[in-house]
Amino acid sequence: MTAALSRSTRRLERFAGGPWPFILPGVLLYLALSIYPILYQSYLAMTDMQVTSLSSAQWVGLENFAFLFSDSRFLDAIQFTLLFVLITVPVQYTIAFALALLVDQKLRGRIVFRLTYILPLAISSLIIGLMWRLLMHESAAGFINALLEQLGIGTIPFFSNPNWARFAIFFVNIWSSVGSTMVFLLGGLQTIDVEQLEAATVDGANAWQRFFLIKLPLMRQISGLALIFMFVGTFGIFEKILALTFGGPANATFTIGFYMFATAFGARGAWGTTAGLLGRAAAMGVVMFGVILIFVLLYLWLVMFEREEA
Amino acid sequence: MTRKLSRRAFLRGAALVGAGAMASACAAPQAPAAPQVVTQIVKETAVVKETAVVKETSVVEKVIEKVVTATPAPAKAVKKVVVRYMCPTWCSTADTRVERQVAFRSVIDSFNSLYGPKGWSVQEIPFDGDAVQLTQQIEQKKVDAIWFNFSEYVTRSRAKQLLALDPVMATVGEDVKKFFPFVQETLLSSDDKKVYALWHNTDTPLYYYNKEKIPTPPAKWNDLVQMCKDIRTKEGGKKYGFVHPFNGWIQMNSGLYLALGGEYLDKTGKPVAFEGKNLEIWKEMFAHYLGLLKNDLVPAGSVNQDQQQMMPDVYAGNVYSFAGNSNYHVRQLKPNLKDAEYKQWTAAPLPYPDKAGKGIYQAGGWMIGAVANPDPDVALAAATWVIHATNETSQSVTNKAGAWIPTRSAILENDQFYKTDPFMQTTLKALQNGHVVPLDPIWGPMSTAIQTALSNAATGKKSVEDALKEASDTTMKEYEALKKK
Repeated sequence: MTAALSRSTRRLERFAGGPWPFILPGVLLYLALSIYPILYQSYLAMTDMQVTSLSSAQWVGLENFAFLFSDSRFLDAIQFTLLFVLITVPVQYTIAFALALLVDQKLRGRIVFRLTYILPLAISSLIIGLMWRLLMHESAAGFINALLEQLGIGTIPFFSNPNWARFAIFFVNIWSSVGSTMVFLLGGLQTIDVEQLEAATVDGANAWQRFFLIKLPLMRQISGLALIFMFVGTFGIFEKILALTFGGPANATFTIGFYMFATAFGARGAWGTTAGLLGRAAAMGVVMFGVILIFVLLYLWLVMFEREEA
Repeated sequence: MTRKLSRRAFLRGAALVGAGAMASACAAPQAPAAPQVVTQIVKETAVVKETAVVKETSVVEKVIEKVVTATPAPAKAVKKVVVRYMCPTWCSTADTRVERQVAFRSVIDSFNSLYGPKGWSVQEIPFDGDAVQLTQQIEQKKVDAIWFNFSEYVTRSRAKQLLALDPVMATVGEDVKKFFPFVQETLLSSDDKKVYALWHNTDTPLYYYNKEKIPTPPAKWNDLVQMCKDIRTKEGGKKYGFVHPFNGWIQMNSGLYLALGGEYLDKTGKPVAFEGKNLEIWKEMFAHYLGLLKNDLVPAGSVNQDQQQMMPDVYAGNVYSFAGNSNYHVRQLKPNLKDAEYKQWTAAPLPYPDKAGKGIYQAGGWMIGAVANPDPDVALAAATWVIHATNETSQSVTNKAGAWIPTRSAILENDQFYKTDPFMQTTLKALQNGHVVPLDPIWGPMSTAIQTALSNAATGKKSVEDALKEASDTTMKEYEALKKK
């Protein structure tokens, strides 16, 4: 017994002396705040839980998923969400990279430029949406249309025309998110060894060659990470749509995130409410999680594949 | 030589500022400023009931064999019951508007003073109106009475969350017949025909118009179209005679569909709104609104606007009439227009289709119910609170503060305010033909589908026929899914 006691004491000492006491609180917090909600949502997705009766939810298996994949509104939402990501992510990345290159230079007042570009980060997404809703209002109340009228160009139907409504969402999302991507890429640019660039200059490389042959390749990993963050953030867009277009007109700006909200909480008010289908909304969340996970795993696999080749 | 700010120093400073901001954010919140005390004379209706004490004397012969000194009975202990009443902030003493604070405070205080000797009191629990939170509190038995939307009446009573009020109502002389007919019908629409809540306030859409620009309000659709054409011809540019929210369209028009002879559900609860003559009615109604858009008689932007989003055009003086909730004169016009401009506005019932004999208008609103509780004392106190909070005096006071319409017929007969205020009179006139939407769970998906169909047709995404076909398919799909539950 004394031998067993001393063995367990030694194990405890090894445990206490190792990294686990430092890692454990963070791991537990991560499990509680990230893994548990994912697992609970997966469970919810297999029930018929509703807003007005939470405890009497019944197990329905894959019924919610079957409904979703035969629902044209959901399929349209997936289509628009993917289109949204495919358009805004590359545009946002390009603009952010250009801005990062600009503010990386030793310009007078570059701090002011940096602050200006990251200012939208300080404003919540909902406020950004409301702000642009007012600016783009389709009447004299809207600053942009008022200005266009003064210039003799005519007004733009930002929210009553489906294509313009989509443009409005793309624009506002890029405007509000480009700052955070710029900061990310700026950090990457500043890790590039200046001596390499100087050596290239001495060897006769011009600005374009230095960019394409040195900076861009060295920024590959940072760019990959930035793209993942942009993909995840853009895929789940919701608040800006809620404030700007409420999914309209004619569901033209319905993304999966917004459809999830509309299914769970609907349009509540004094004159009626939708059913508050939390189970079905959770199923949408699981689908969204699955798509994002596939993308991230694909990226990680490519990175590992590249490392092995190297 | 000037000393430049180094990057390390900047980061240090930024971190200190950030930490300071976090510390102040985590600091205990300041107690909210005490609401301004306003002395307001609230009209009270005193009800004196005469009680007659009749003394009867009778001679009784008794043989006393033993004298026992009676021990005085112990005083009955008063059981303290606190009714935990959960209500959205905007209809509580926590609202920012002083008139609502005072009104709801007076109702709670009157209950506390009336039933204090019994040991009862009310504890108000304001919340943000989130339905999930409300359901959680009910299921965890953390509330005894709730304020909720009328559309949840059948669902919550079916889920056994609410207490039947009939026994307590009978005891205190309350009767569902004292409410408006459409209110009675709704309260008795529970599965077992019992009353599970009392309707506190209602509202309905109205036609608001600037009487200087529109001396006579249009009564029917053709009149409305003619008025819009006249204004466009006369003024043109950014000026319009009318704006209607396309988001929330169904709320303004669900009654007009019935006025044209439409039917939503059959006797078994199956949706029939997209069959036969019902489908033709939707086509007719869509044609009217699409015509307004196509002929530039309403602002094009209204296609994707709700009631609030269309108001900037009204404030800018670009639109001379609109369809809005019956308390919009208080909620929207008065706070956003100058006094002289506000006085130009008045209201009438919404114009109705020419083919319909009259307009029928959707009645919405909010109810107060007692949560089902195994403790009979708590249940009784909660039920009594519900009846008190919706009685004639309470409704008079609180509905005035909220610019809502009370749901009791007697208030209209007795209350000077409701008899003389023009907006209230117009709302009451509209509510004479009030209807309540089906409280069946299929109503939500069906109304959303109709709304989407109109939006699809208005933006040209689909033809009217295809849009309504899609609405029908979506509704039936949802109906089949609901049937499985």
